[in-house]
Amino acid sequence: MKEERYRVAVDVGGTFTDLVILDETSGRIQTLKVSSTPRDPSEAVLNGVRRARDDLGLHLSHVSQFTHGTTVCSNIVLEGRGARTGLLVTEGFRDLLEIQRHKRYRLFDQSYQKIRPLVPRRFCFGIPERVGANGEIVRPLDETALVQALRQLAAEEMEALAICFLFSFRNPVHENRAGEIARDILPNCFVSLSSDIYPQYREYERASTTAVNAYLGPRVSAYLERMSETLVDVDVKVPLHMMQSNGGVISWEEATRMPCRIVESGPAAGVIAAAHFGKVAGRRNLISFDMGGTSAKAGLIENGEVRQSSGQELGAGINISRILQGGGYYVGAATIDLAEVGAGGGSIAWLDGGGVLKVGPQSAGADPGPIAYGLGGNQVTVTDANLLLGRVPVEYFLGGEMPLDLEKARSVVNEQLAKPLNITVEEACATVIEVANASMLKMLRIVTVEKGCDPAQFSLVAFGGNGPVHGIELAGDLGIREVIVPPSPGLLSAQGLLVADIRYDFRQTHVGPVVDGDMAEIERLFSALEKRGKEALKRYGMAEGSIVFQRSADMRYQRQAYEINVRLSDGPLLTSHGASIAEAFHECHERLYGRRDTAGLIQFVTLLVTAVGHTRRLRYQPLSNGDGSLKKALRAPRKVYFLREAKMIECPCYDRAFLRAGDALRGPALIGAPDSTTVVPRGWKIRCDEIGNLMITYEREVA
Amino acid sequence: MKPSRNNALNAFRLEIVSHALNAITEEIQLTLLRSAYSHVVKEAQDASCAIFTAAGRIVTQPVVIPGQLGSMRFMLLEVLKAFPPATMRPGDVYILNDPYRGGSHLPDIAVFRPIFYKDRLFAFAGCIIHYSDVGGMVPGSNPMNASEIYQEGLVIPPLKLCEDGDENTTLIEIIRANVRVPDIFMGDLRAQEGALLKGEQRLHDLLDRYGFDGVMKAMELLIEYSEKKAREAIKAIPNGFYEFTDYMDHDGVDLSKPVKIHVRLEVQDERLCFDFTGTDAQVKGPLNAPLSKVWTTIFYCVRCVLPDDIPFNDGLTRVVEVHVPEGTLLNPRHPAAVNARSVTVNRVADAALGALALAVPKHIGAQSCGVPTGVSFGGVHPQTGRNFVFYESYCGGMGGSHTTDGADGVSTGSSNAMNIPVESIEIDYPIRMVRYELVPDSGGSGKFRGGLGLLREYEMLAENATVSVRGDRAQFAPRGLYQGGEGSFSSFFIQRAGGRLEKIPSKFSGRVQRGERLRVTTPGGGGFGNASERDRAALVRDFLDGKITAEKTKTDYGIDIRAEAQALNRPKPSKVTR
Repeated sequence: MKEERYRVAVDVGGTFTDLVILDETSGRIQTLKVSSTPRDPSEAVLNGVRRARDDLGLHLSHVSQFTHGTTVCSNIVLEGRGARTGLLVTEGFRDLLEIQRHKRYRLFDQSYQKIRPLVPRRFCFGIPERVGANGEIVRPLDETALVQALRQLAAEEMEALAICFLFSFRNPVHENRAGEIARDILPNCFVSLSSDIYPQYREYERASTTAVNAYLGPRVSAYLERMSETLVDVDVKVPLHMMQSNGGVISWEEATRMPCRIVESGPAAGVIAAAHFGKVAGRRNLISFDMGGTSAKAGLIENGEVRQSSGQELGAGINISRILQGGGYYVGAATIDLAEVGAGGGSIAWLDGGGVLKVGPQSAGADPGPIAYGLGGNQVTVTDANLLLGRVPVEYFLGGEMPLDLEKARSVVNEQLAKPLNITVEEACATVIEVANASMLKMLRIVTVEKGCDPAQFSLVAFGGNGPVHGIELAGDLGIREVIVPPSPGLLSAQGLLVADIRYDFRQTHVGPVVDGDMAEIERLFSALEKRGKEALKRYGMAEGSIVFQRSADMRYQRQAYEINVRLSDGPLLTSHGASIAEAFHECHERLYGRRDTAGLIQFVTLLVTAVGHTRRLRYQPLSNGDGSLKKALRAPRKVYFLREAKMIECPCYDRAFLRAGDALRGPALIGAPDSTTVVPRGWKIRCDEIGNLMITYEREVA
Repeated sequence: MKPSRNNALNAFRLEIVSHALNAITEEIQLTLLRSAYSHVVKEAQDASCAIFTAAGRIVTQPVVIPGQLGSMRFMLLEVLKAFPPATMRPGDVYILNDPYRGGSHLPDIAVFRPIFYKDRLFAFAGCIIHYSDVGGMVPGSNPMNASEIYQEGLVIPPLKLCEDGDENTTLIEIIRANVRVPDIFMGDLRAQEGALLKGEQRLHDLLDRYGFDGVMKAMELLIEYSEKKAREAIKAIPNGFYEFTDYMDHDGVDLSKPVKIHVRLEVQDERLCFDFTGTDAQVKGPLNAPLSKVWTTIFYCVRCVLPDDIPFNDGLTRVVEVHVPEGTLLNPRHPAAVNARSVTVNRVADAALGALALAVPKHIGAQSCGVPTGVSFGGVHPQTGRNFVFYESYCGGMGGSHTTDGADGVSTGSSNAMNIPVESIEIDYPIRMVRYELVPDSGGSGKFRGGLGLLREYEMLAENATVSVRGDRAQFAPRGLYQGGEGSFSSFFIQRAGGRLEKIPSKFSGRVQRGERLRVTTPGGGGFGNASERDRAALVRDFLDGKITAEKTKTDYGIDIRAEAQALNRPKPSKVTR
């Protein structure tokens, strides 16, 4: 008998924790959803794994890959729950985190405030030492002063420490020594050195990345260690792996050292999955629309490539352009580009001082959750509104397992919203939906229209527990003609974890000329990086044959401050290659900036190797063909509120579990499933494809 | 006329085109920043760009440096005067910096590219960069003792930089011969050319999709929309006259006499009129501000009292009037020196905002630090043997507002440059940065205190270098509002060989030797509201963070802060949950 192998993916969201299990032999996918446990997220993971074992009969010792994505990091920063963190900098530069880049991000705001530093000024210490621009020691490290500062921090019970000295990326000797002494004096402290975390010039960006890393360190490592131990306890034999912000996967130990790389771990997985399902359906231009319990997020996939940025600013808010981006905590790590708004199923509807109805950003999350859950929630949420408007059939909700208290929801809506506004409960619920949709429309515009992309040229992939409830009406407002609802949309982010490649990025600063440079040395550096990559991937159990290295270099004209990343051929590099590499850079520069400087001296700045371990392609179990009757799927019709009609109308209902390949139907329709309901208004038609994607296309204007 | 299908732009299409235009200007802007050679542009982002209609009206511009927005409009009009549109061809590029022909001072050089579509002039793309040197008396082209424009650098009237795609080599050679670091100058100039070329490509893409008339219509609608929204907002301001007077330390040449700026704002239904009659006559030193720069500053001030969502374009110019008598500080006659006009226009902003604060009380905060302090060094780099010119500018504390403390160490008013990273400076210049920190006690006291000023100290590593400082508010501190206290003064010192500390005036050009240090302290912001109403917890937090001393809490707030801090049972750190 062939041995079973399973890939398991766990996505911890604000409201639910999702498990997806792929049987690699049969291609069968099974899914599980448990409530998140915000106080200790690993509890929910363990609950899920146990249920997979007990209910689904999963042999945990046969798990071949266990990947995890989480929003834990960004939540820690946004909610200010990180470690009590200290910062050591070069004397004279105590205020790096206070001053930031000196710029205002809202120019006409007379009450402008900078984001409050993660390390309060009282815990920032300037240490006498100085390294110069060429890495030379200008002033030796004053260890007495250092020890004094560390003792003060010890007295303040620091849990984490960031160290960022000037020019440490050129010469880390002072940082290393300070780190040693710090570990001595503060043995339980999580210490991050800037030369290790982000060895790049520009002191504010480096200090900020290091501070974020330290601030996250103790919480994230406690979390991952606990989770890893738990998995060992239940006989999972492969090491835990983590999704990074760039959409690739790394080991949990690496993530513990570099939590700044997994800040956008959860959302990244969703976009990777959207890209994957889009590709399977033959689409290369996609908008990923992920609406969960606490927020909604949108990303863009152009020509099959997920849009990325080289860093991100955490907590900067969403309404930002590319130039005026910022004002948040800078994190120097490659990140999938996302826009986000605080509009999810659990987002709370409230009346502001002027009697205007608002939705979010406060969320009832999973606990206490919406009023209808009966878990103590007493504020109206978007989910309550959807339930009362018939848009989410009660009998499908979480497989009908969760008892719902609609009467209580109705009376609270009446009390809190309908009565003060002097409208009906139905009108109040519809307003909640409209308001949530307006903020999601703005978000979707930010990733498309405001980047000069016409949404009509894209397909929308709607997922997350609430994406398919709102996605089709939103698409209609944006002129999008096609919406794809993948199978198990409520668990899509977790599926992104299954298909993500393992990616390790290795970088080495090497500033030197491209033409007539020391190619032997550069080749040696590249080979060393590749060797590290190979070792890392082998530890993961990757066969050598499925490892691919991508070489690239950040290059610039000598006087410039920004580098362009240029892909290089696989090597070995010879001196004669200098001219062709230079030409590749000139071309890139011309494409990006409209000109080339033929006389300009081109420099390498950073050499990069990305070691990619391709995960095996997923084989989906194809759906059998339907007979066209839809009889098995059809359920009793019900009254459902549609925004365009602005009233409850009689609407046919279908059980998604009984839809087969080739089945076609028309809106208005409600397609129920345990993880998410798809609300299809009039004017759209639906076709179920071979693997169970609902391909929903716009048909005609409704009179 | 029956509307054709192509012409019938629905509201949604308009929004897409307007956002696409914004995206194009952002791309021009990014191209400038990413490909330029000078620190002023690539790090400090002292650069702006815009798209104009064929008639020279601003359609979109990314709001980066408010003080540069608007100047370009006057410069383009001068180009159009010198070169009628009928004479323009695809591939032509125009250049100028003349402060007496639309410019604002010589280092700000604007470049414009007419955009043709199917042989018709459709629009202009333009951009402006602050060059770190354009020749003249001192490196950095900011001589504080200049009294004529001829001393300030190379004057470029409206000229063709490119004709039919070919660069004007004569002009280039003249420029190269007149600036101190031609390679960096050319790197920046080519960045401007490349950025506009990029803009042209993107505009062509847009025109291919929506057609000449479609995009044109969207541009006009955008301008109308801004004007309409601005009129509505101004209508809500009570009609009347509001006056304000403010001062600068001196004009840089005559150090004994303060310089006065006076404004009378008249709110009249849907219009705002700013009359600067009563302002001092033009001065001998370089503080004179060309009218285009005054206009630009007024746009900034007006924008501060308008709702956030009004696009910044030509529509706003139709609701504002500015009156300045000729021959005065804010409308000087040729050939008055103008290089330090950014001090002046910041005081113009202080005065105009002061008047607006009377008209719309809650919208405006206490005075901010009031000047982007400019510092430049020049000399010979000891390692390369080549000329170097360093220039940067930065602000200090923001004023407190009716809801918050002023931000600490931040760009204020109509400037918004980023700081140049210390590491970036030291990699390229023979300068070692000694300190860059906030100045405790510098914020004006109040219910909401002013932001803290900045201290920046440089050590010169080259022999016999020049130094210029362009500051202000060493004699007139930023004022508080509603009984709020004043922010701190600025101060400027050179630590000479042997340790002697020499106090220098707020506007200064001189020399520093190797090992000597320049120490600049910028002003803090004014406070808002009475100090007695300040939240105790906020006061304790500032004390623990070293932003205010026990002495100042005693004198300004009458509080024994140490006792207060002890009484305020400090919360214990949360434990790691394991």
